[in-house]
Amino acid sequence: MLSICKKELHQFFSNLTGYIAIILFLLVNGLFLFVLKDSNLFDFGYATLDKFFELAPWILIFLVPALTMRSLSEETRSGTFEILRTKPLSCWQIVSGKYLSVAVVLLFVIVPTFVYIFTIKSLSATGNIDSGGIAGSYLGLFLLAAVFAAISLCCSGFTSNAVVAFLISTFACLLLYFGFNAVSKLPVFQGSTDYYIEMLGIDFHYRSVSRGLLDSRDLIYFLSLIFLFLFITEKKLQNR
Amino acid sequence: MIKKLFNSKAALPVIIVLLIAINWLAAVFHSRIDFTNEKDLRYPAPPNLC
Repeated sequence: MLSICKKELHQFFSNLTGYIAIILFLLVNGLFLFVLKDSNLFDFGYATLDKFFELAPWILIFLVPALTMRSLSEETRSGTFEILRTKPLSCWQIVSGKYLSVAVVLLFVIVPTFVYIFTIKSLSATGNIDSGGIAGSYLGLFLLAAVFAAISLCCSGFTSNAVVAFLISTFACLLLYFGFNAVSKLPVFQGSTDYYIEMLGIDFHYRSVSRGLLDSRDLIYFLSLIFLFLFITEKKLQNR
Repeated sequence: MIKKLFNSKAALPVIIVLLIAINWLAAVFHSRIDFTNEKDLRYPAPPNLC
């Protein structure tokens, strides 16, 4: 598993893929949080990173599928998956190795944004920031990115075309992140099952963790989703 | 036995049911850690330049 992870990490950082992911994430966040007028942190008036934690999932919805779209689809297209299967590795080890490498890249993507904490701290009147809340929000963001990575890896396993994998996984991430929330807002469900439908979506649990409250329910929800999508991927590879 | 179950055709529905059950149990027996604390988070007033 670790050898697959190392190989994938080497692939990410031997060309521009990994670096571009980090730069793009920082650039888009930086533009929205410090340059563009409507979403500017300076006009917000409060020393919190709430705006960043609202914005980041939308960037990750596109960034994570772009990172993982080639993971399995390219192996199928180029025929290297058959070579990989001849190695003494189970399908689960291949999937978890690839998943672990994407998770590490995502960690590298998120960690540079810690700079924003110091920015916000220097902007604060009393030098106070809700550091605990921010720590919880960062954990939520990483869990969200990890779920997106599992979904995208799963979608990548279903096709040999990287672009199709990107489109399917973006749609799937969007659907799971925002779909249930949108459906729960329909007048049919208002006042009855809307809360339970909303609970099925990632957005509900992410918002809960982003408030700085780490609830065991949210943690288990995220871990369950990751396991489910990795399991589906493994099954798909096994049946190939 | 677990390995056999995971390799069977019915593995996916079983896993889904298992995960739903785990999430339901988690909803019943849950605990939380509160990271937040109340602080003054306002920016300082801008200097009066007039």
